[in-house]
Amino acid sequence: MTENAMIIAQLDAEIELLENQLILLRRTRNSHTLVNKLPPEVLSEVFLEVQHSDGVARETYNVIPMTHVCHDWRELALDCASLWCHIDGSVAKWLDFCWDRSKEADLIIDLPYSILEFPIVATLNQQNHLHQTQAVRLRNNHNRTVFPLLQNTDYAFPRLEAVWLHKFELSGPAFSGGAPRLRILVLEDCRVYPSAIKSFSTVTTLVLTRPFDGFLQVQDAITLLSCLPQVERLLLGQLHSQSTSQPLPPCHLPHLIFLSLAQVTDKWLTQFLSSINFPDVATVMVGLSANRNCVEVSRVLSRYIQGHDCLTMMSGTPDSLRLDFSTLGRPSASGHHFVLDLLFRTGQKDIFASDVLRTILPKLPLDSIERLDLTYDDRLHQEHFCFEHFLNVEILRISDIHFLLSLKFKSQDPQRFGSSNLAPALRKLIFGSPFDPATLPQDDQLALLQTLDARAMVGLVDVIMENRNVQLRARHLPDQTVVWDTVPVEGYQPDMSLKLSDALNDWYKLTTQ
Amino acid sequence: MAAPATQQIKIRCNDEKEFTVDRDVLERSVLIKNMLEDVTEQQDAPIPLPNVSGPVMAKVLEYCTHHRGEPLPSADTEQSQDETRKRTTDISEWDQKFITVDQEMLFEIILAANYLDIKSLLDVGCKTVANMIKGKTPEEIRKLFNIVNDFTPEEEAQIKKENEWAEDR
Repeated sequence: MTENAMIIAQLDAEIELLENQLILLRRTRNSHTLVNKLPPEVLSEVFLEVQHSDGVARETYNVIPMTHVCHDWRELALDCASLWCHIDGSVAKWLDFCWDRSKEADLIIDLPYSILEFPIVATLNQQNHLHQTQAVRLRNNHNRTVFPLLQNTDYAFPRLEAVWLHKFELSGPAFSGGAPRLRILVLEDCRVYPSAIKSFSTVTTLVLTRPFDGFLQVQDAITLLSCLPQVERLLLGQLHSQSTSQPLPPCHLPHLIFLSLAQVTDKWLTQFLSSINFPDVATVMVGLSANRNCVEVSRVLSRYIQGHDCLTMMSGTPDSLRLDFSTLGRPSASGHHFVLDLLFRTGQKDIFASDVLRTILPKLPLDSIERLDLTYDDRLHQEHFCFEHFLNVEILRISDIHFLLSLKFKSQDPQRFGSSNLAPALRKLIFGSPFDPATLPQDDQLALLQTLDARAMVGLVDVIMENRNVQLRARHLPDQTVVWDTVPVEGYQPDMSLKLSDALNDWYKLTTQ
Repeated sequence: MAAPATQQIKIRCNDEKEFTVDRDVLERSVLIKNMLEDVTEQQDAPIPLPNVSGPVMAKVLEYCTHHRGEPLPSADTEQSQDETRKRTTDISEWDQKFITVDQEMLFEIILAANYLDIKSLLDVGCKTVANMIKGKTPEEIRKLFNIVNDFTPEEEAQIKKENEWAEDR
């Protein structure tokens, strides 16, 4: 080596040393910043919060920028397994990166169609991490005729609890290696054959919608359900009625506690309900199909599920106003055995909340209803609301009532609207209504409201008032006072909630003085 | 009806600042709650809190007073709480106003909440810092928190590779 080369080598070594010292100095400097004074477990918690992009969905990609900030952040983030156990479409290129960093944490694999173009199946099969899988969601893969990820493997899935498939064809056994903890199966727009469904015998929650390539016949649905006797919660999409009048084989679902049927017509509903046997205690939820014969549906329901404790009707069509509820429910000695949820999506030209109330109320078996949930979405009309009808209902929850301008009390009977009765009735109403007391009519009825014994409102303290725009939370202080807090939610209208909160506080003060 | 008398507890911060506070307010802190439970006899001596300064403690007490009476998360509920559900909890309007402070105070509050073991306050602090980070580039995050790039050339090379993956995303 020449002398010159030796000098250069020596200088290079010195530069490297200085550069390393510079990096160390920078790291020491960074360690003195406010944010880096946080303990690692607290900073990890911040990182996990960042990962939840909209508060609900997790997107692992959101973590990447934090690994590029400084050495300490990178080390911390890469070492935090729970940041890397959500394998989603945002990290298609980071699969190996994620696998390694997930360590032994439970994995959630959530992949859209686009990512399935990558050789992901091969990648997954090559990995030693499949046993960590806790949940799998594969979407929009109708071009494939098999259920490749889980079907063609003998791999064991000891931690797998939930599988969600969208537009797959399931034609043969799956999980040959075993998935003993699998409980939740969502088959959205999938074509499923009995030979495949038998692999899911441990499932207790099943969601099944019509397949991507046609209809699901009632008989086929019954055949599939017969393979899943453990089912506790069943959500079925629209079925196709049998053309033959031949009776279907009976299907016993002894553990069923929740049954949801969407887009029902009287025909398939009759065929389906006449075939399955399930306990009376099960909650039944029925969604009506548009422009169908609601009177007939009412008849079918009254025939097959009259003995059930709970029924939810969901509808957004004017036809639903013709439903006959009078034959539903199970009146008993106490008269409180029936829960009815009414979910109406109104706001169309031809149906308004007031129409629903006027038409439905006389048909409701109010004496036998224990809890009534009314959900409306009516942005077009602002109306007055009368809750006289609901005085016999123990729990009334009203949400999404954006139209409400005022309360009206039709009866002047002081016994009925005295403080002891009015308070519980009002309590039912304000469970879910963002009404503005400032708009109340200035008449004698308002005087009744103002003389309300607010101490009766004490029962509200454990309630979170919730609707689309505001949550109102009542807190009970040790000195017997109540403080109303407003909690912002998406679409929050601060003026309205503020008025409501202030009004309730003033009201409380006024009536407890 | 007169409110029942509550026990008053004295605390002393690291700057000698003392506070006399209702016991139920102080018991929002699991650390102090446990300390009080361990003491069987009434003591007049203030509880020393060597890791918290007076101004920060004043803020923490403001939070605890506002949230007094609310149920404390038990170890069981904390464990069984679904992670997603936990993360969807919004910051209330009051909490948002409360935590709108300069960065120094924000991090001091978080450190105090961590030390005093006040889970709900720690959550509010972490969510606030997370909201400051969301949507920002690494350079913007550095600027926000006064951090400088301290990566080695090897780390820089790996980061460059990861950025190329990101561009193909």
